[in-house]
Amino acid sequence: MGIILKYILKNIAEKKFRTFLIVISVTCSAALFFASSAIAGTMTVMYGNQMRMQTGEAALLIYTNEQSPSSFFRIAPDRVEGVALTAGEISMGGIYTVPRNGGEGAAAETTQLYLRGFQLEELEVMNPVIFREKAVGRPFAGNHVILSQLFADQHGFQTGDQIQLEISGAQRRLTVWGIARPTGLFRDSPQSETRTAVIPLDYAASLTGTRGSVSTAYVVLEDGADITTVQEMLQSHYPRHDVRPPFSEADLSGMLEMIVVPFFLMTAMVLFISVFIIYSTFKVITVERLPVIGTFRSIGATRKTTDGVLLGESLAYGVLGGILGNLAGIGILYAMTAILANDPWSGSMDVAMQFGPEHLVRAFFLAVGVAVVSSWIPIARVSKIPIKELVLNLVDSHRSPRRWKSLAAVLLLAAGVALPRLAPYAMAMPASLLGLAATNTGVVMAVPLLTRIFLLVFGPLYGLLFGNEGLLAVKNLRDNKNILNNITLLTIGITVLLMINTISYSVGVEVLNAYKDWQFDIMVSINGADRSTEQALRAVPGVAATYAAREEWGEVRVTSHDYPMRYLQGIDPVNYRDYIAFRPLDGADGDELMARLSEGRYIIPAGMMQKALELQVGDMLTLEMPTGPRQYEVIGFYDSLMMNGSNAIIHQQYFRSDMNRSYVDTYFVRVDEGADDAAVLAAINSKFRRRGVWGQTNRMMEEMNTESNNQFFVILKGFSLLAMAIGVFGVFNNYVISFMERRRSLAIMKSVGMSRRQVIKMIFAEAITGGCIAGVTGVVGSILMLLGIPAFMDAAGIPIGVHFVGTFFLAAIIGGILIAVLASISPALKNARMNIVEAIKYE
Amino acid sequence: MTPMIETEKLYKTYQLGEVAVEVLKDINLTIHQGEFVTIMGPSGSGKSTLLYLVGGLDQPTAGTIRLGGTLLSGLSDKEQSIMRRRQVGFVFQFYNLVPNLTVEDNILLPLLLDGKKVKPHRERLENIMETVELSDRKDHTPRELSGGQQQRVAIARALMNDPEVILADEPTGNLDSRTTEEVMLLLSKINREQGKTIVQVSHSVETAAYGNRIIQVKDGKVWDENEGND
Repeated sequence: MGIILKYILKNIAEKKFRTFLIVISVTCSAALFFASSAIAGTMTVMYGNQMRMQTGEAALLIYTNEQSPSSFFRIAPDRVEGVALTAGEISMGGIYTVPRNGGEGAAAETTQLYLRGFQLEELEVMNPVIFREKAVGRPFAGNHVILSQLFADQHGFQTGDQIQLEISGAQRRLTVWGIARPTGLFRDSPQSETRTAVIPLDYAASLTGTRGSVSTAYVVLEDGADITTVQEMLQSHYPRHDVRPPFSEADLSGMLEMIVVPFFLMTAMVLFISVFIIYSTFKVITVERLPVIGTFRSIGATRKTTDGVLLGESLAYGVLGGILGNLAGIGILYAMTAILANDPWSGSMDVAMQFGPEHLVRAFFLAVGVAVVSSWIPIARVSKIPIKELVLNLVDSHRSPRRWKSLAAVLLLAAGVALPRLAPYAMAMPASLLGLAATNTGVVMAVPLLTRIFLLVFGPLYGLLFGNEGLLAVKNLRDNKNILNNITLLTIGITVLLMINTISYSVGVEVLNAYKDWQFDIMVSINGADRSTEQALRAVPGVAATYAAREEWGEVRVTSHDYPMRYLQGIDPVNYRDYIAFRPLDGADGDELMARLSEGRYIIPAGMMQKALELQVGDMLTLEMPTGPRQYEVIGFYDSLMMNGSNAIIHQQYFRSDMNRSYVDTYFVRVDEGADDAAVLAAINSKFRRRGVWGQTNRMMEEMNTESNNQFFVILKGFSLLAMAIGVFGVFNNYVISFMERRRSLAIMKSVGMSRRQVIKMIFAEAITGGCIAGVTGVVGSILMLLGIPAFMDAAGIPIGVHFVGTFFLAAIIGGILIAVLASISPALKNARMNIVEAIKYE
Repeated sequence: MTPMIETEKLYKTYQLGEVAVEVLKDINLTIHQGEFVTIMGPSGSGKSTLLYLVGGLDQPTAGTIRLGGTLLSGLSDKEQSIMRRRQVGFVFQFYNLVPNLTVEDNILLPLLLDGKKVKPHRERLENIMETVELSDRKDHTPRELSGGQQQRVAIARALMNDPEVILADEPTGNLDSRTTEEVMLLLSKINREQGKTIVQVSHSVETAAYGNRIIQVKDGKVWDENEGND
């Protein structure tokens, strides 16, 4: 046993580049698998931490809803079992006017403050404040304020200073009681314009005239208390209020699944390349070891022993790759997390990786599995060779091309294209994945056939381009398994890279198109908006027209189909289409649909919902609304990507009554022709700042969305580049192996008069051809796979169309040629200088 | 008679680790045009090395080689390559055919390397294939042929560019007696009918009998030359 182990280790140590290649393939597969499987948990924790910054130790929040009699409520005095603390809060807006230093004519610069009223003792339990400095010997009461370090440093405040704020239209002078470090409530994003400040709860209540009441209560549980039981008990105490956890981990995980699926898809691609590299390398290893295996067998070793030697080698690669893969995986997870932590929508988050031993063990076993399974077929093939053939070296490793492979390739490609299209929506995800796998396998199996076709079509041109050396290159390329392996590796790499780049580009185009659908310039929300608000808004200089949008961004459950709809709009059919493009599906007439919408409880779901719920015109949808379940009849469908197509529109009249929503959520604003939308937004902000206003221009939102998508795709591109890198390593290795095997053939050619220049010319002609074929098959493969992507993305809840880019394809072909040429430089030069006699004389 | 191959004070030394092994020592010989010479000697005597030096596949440590009057040591890699494809045809013991090329492609190899078009030489190709009796096997690959057939492909390849000299390194060393006879008769016929100078390396007295001169090499030196049976 010791000898066999020694032999395995010696084999591994002898072929350093080959060992490196296999280990790096296994390592990458394990690392990406580890990172992909741990990213959802990590992001859940990070988003959780982000939310906990605001809610601290509170496990439940109590807040008002549409059924609550007032925006404020009293905290019930009864002790509820399991509750350690119920901390109340009253919040409001404040404006700080920065003292002018630009002379009389300069515009007053203001900063918004988010004033949160708490009892400091309660806050210390729920979400402790870490002070940089604070007043000594004076209780936090009356007109005191705790400022954030960011704000204090920006405006030069210290403890004991006076600060004048405009609160609810009145000027108030407050005393700075302390400066808080940027943690918890005070962790304001430097990019955000609003700063948090804390005032005593009683002072906040005196400002709102609601002494004894709060607008939100934070519930901290006792150790060991059951959250569900406490939630039920509290709900019974506050029947007309919402009692909920600050966020649902289940909802968050569900949302993150959308991110995780593409990562796993890329991991699968890398895995596929690794399997191919290990399989093809082990084919070489087993052929190389035939004489030794013959010797072992001839002196009494069983098949099991010789299989064990080879499997032991692959196991060693797997173990090494598994260990390194886990280490690299932690690094990749950190990098992915750090990139995703800078979410333009949620603000930047602290990086906190979340993984456990199960992640490490799973990745380790995947590594071992990949190495052993990929090497099994070549090992099993050698195992079947009779001992006599092994000993007498009668094994012919040449296998003539098999026709069934070409046929299977064509069938797989057809299945890959058809499966995602023909499968019912419920089966779309597995069918798409199966389709992608079939296409990928089909492309790999079709490489020899495509190479033959390519050579048949373009072969004659080689004589013109490269002379007789070109013709020889074409002859060498036919059924040369090493060159075919190179083409295959490059094909997979190029396919993956093209796929990711095209999808990323397509998402960009779709985002752009989605924002093009918004035919308004500014979206603005104003607190307590009513009819008069809209009049005032229209009076802002530069505002041409406005539309009052009523929308529900939270989940509206379609109970009839057990479906969580993520966005519902109550529209005004008369002018809705002036602000948002409306494209009816299935040839329906837009005017008719709009006219019918006014006639009753009718609904127009987006196309994605139509597919997901298999809806037809005339179907009834039961929506779970604040006023109870309401039945809406489907009158048509429309093309919309809002909330990834999980949305529908109804008439605003029914939205208002059924959603019990009297106020306007958002205004869509169109600015005068030639007016600067950012300047108009600034004017709106200025006009409504006392009431609290949030607004963004269409352009700003588009930029943020693009930035957010780019962060996601930068990781996916990283994955695809890694896949390509492994492929390139594989190609370099294959070229070295290929020339080792062809050394004798090249020596023969040299013996009959081939010069060094001719050797180099022929090898480069081969490389250019191989790279070109890989580029073309990679392009074909990626197009075929991309054809299946819309169905996959639909199924993953990200409905996008695919936009092909010609330059990507051209770059792929050029890239393929470059890689092949670069990989062949060293072997070409070495072979041109080889000793003919040494290479030719010995078998 | 015109000298075709001349060697003068030819030495070849190989470095095996720290030990220098003198394979050929002071070889002086002349082979004339149209001769069929067999170089014989025990294993390791240096006979194959002598053949490779004469064919320009290897470089001597010292001394000169002239082929058709041209000094080989004065030629560049390109000129030596041209010499190998135009003036010399090699036949090896293990045939040395390119496995992924067909019989026809293997035979055409020297022509293609010489940058020539196949079309004008089609008739010559067919004549050669007829001579070696392989016309019906032109689209086969070497692994689909027997040893004798492969060696005939190698001979056909050696003839393709109509060289003046054919150098054969144990051309029948890997063949059975019946095929050996076929191959030797073919070489003999080529020597007689086409006037090619043939130099073969062999262990066998029977195959040497097909030629008209035997050169015995032992311990890196020519120690005996005699006329064979003609």
